[in-house]
Formats: sequence, C-alpha cells, structure tokens
Amino acid sequence: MSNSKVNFSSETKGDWIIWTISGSVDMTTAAETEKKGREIVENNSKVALDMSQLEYISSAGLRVLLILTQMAEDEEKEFAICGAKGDVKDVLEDSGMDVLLNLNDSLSDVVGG
Amino acid sequence: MILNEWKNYPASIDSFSTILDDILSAAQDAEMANRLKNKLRLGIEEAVVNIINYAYKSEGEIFIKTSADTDYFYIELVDFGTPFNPINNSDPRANDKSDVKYLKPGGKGILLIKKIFVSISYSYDLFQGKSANHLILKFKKNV
Repeated sequence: MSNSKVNFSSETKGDWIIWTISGSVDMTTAAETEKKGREIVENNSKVALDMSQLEYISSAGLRVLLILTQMAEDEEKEFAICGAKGDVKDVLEDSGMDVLLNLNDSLSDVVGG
Repeated sequence: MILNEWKNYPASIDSFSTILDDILSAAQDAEMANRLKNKLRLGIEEAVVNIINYAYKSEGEIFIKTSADTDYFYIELVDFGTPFNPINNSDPRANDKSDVKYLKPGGKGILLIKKIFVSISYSYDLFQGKSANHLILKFKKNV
C-alpha cells in the first residue's frame, strides 16, 4: 500500500552530474540512498540532486541530505538540491532544513536549460 | 476495522512496512482524506522509528491500536522499553555519538511529529501488568 522503494538514475550535463531520486527516502531506504550519494559526491565535483520525482521523505532522508551536503562542503564540492515539490517540499520547510541545504526551485536554475 | 484492537509487532525495522500499511489501512477505513496520506505516513514513521531504534536494548515489542471519530484519527503506541516522553525531550538521536557531526537533523523527527499531530499525549503506566510507554497521537483526518 505504501510505496517504500527508491530508484536512482544519473546523467551528465556540462560539468554537472544530475542525480535523480524517485520514490521514497524513508527509514528503510535511507541507507542505500546514503551509500549511492556518497559514491556520487566522491566521484564528482558538481552534483545536482533532482528531487522532482521524489514522492516522500522522512527525517531519515533529511539526515542523508545533510550528510551529503556536509561531505560536499568538506571536499569543496557543489551539492545542489533541485525541484522538491508537494509533500517533500513541505517536509523540508517544516523541519527548518531549507535553511541548511542548498535548495533550488528547478534543475535548470542550476545546470542551465 | 483493522487495528481496532491491540496488535503487537516486533520492534524491528523488518516490521516497519507492515506497521505502516496496517495503520494506513485503518486510516483509510476511517475515511481519512487521501491527500493526507503522506503526512500521516511521515508522522507514523517518525513515531515508530524512535521505538524501533531506541526503546529496547535488545528485542522488544510495539503494541498498536487505532480509533477514529468524526474529525480525528487516533494512533496508540505502547512499548515496554526505556521511558521516553517525546513531548519533553529532543530526539534521542541528538545524543547518538556516531551522529555528533550531524546534530542538527537529530531533532527533526520530534519537530515533525509535533507539527503533524494535533496533539500528542504521553503516559508511563501499566499495560498488561507491566510499566510501559503509552503514546496517543491525534491526527486531523480532513483539513
């Protein structure tokens, strides 16, 4: 009944890698999301996370976003979070995380149209 | 209706999907507005994750019951673990040493629970003859 799966895909655009997450990042999928995210941040200097297809995020997912943001900062890389909407955007705002993360309305604002 | 009587689940991550589906089914039976499903899902996850991760040092159980009236859906959660009142405390993860670098997200779960539910009542009292954490979460089912 509840969709508790997460899917990843990635593509490059210019000097950015676009990492797309769809489905849910909850307590059951946060670990695999963190693992994948660490791998992507480690291997790329400019990462745009496309969240426009993400349906659900919980505090377990917020924690992953903060870890990856911190990791990118430590390594002087860019980690831009793009396109959160609906329930996902509400959670980012309700938790106050919107001020801690590099949030962008749309992917094209970051990587260009 | 599912969960109109107490049902127990192992307090482990493997039970989480079942717990979530059972409570969401009960909410659907109680005619919760479908667009509130993710909001309720989040509230359930944040409340249940604290019990699964922090209530017990080893194996334990969570007891769950739901009910509804015209405007509200109620979730009752009981565990026999360490006494923990989420209303007066920050998220226990804030004290998790492995998380020192990321203290900030630690408190988010409790913050979200407080935003999602109309009220949260906590008591530490007897359940089936043993001292237990008893949480009642009140959710507005149509906004």
